[in-house]
Amino acid sequence: MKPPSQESTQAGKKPVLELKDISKAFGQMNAVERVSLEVWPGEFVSLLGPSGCGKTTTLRMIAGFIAPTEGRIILGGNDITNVPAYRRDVGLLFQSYALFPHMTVRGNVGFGPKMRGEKSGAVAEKVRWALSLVKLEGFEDRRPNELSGGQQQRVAIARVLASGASMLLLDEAFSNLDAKLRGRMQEEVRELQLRLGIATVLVTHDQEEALAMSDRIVIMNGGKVEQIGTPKQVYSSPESLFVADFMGRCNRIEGQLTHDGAKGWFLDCGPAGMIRFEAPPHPEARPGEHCRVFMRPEHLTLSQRTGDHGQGLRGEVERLVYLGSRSVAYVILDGGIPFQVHLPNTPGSKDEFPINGVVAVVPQPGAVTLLPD
Amino acid sequence: MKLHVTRRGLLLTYVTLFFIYLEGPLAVIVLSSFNSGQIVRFPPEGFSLKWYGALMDLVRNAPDMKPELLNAVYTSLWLGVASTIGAVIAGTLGAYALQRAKIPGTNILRQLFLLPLLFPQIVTGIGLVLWFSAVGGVPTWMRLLLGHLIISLPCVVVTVTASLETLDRSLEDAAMNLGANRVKTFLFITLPSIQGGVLAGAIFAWLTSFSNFTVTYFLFSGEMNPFPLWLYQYIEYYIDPGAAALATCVLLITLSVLLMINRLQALGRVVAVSK
Repeated sequence: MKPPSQESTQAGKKPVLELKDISKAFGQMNAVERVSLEVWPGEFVSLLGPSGCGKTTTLRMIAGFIAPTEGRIILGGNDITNVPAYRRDVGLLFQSYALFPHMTVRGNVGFGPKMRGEKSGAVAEKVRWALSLVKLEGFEDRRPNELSGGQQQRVAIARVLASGASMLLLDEAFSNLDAKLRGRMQEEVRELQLRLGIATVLVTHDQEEALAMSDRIVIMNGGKVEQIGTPKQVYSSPESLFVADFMGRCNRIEGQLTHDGAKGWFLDCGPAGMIRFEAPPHPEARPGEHCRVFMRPEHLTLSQRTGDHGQGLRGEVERLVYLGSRSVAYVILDGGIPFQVHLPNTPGSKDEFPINGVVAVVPQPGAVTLLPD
Repeated sequence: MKLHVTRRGLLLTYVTLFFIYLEGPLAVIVLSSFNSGQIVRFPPEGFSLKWYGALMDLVRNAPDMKPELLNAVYTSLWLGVASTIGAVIAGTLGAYALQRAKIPGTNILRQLFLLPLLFPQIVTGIGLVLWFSAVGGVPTWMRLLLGHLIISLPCVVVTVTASLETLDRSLEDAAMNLGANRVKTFLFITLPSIQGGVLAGAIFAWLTSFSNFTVTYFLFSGEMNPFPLWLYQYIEYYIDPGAAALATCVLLITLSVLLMINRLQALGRVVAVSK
């Protein structure tokens, strides 16, 4: 499942973390089923999926809070499947930060090195180093309840870094922050992660967060891995309907392939009309074949010119929603299929598509992606 | 608006009457301790502090007074402290185990722990007497201690369980993740986080032991005579306002302990959880 680019750049290196077919069953329920993954040095990997997909269970198995029913977990070449949580050096950043309320910032950040038996001088040095990384010097004597949400998260990050973990685990780490702060913390954590070159696994249900931060994304559903790939791969070349749908709004339509010698391949979508492919939709394409395709809303345009053969799908504008940088047109295609089209709002753009007006939905080149069966 | 005012007035009246009913007996005792007459009487006839003076004589074992008050208080104090220490250690560990054990039936076990709190104490007392006489040779101090441990243990289990339920489990996970083993996690993270519940439990346990009459009645002996029993024997012979003065003093001690709990705000947390 590894993308080729990863294999070539990682040649000769050993993965920091290997999950080998790990499964976890709670009673009759399979929370995680045969998940395999390799995380390479310095890599940022996201486990992405809806709630209940098994991503958090997977993370807790890596941290050692849950024992897998089957499979092995290898960290830095050592099998840690049966090693207790407190002897694995994987630093977990909790969604709730889990700062110790009865300790100062110094006590919190120094807890890891202290528990690992370091001398007080070394502990103080680690605390200084970690707090400087998150720009919180001077906060040593505060208590967690005297800090803002963002500062609390920084302390939590410093605490994990000071413990000298060989990799980082982030459990929905940004979902307790408001939108603006979340964006800033995502950037800061990613920047810090790149600077320290520390391999990281993020669990999230937010696909934008996964896209923005990750080198690779693991999309999970129902305890299984649906797809592993770079953000671009999972967004633009989904290997399943679930991935296509989960990674962003997607307009789906199906029809029959036709081939017109001179003009090339088309998908006949019935009453809505035809869509043209620039190239054969797949190597073994044959006319008459039933196909499902999807198009992202931002890869479509609207046109008032309808009727041209293969120049898009006919429909009526049902609703227009203004969202600042763009507007969203809700179009009902002839035949009843709902489509969304994103219209960029440029300084000169004016409302050219009246409600109930007949329009053509035209895919931009390369916008039509074949969905696997 | 008017309706609102009426409703407020009704509520206020109800609450006032309720508290008069609730605290009335205590008020009667306190007022009759200032009686200038020879017997406990309500309403008091005249005002005097002479019974508090008589109390001082009692403490000094003055002639014609029933002796051994100080001994009784001393017995109750060490009994309370010893059974509290036992109850805090066993109760905290028990509550922790009950909350964390991954075995079926922990709910039933928890009920069993609380049973002495709900059971008629007279049954506990009789049971203990029968058992101690069957075993034989158990010294009085140990009988008292074991008996008081039974009735003060549930106090700690209740408050510590309540604290554990509000404890954020991810704190313990975080400690383990940072390299603390289970014992260190319990000592450095769990225990400081539930200290309010432990302290509240300790105070309830001590009060339970200090004020217990029923179970103690089956276990005491002449030379070990805890304070509530001494007080009972005293009023069997002397129905004078001195007993009321003594009861007022005990009331003051109890009140100050309750104020202490309030200061610790642990009570608030226990109430919040039981909702």
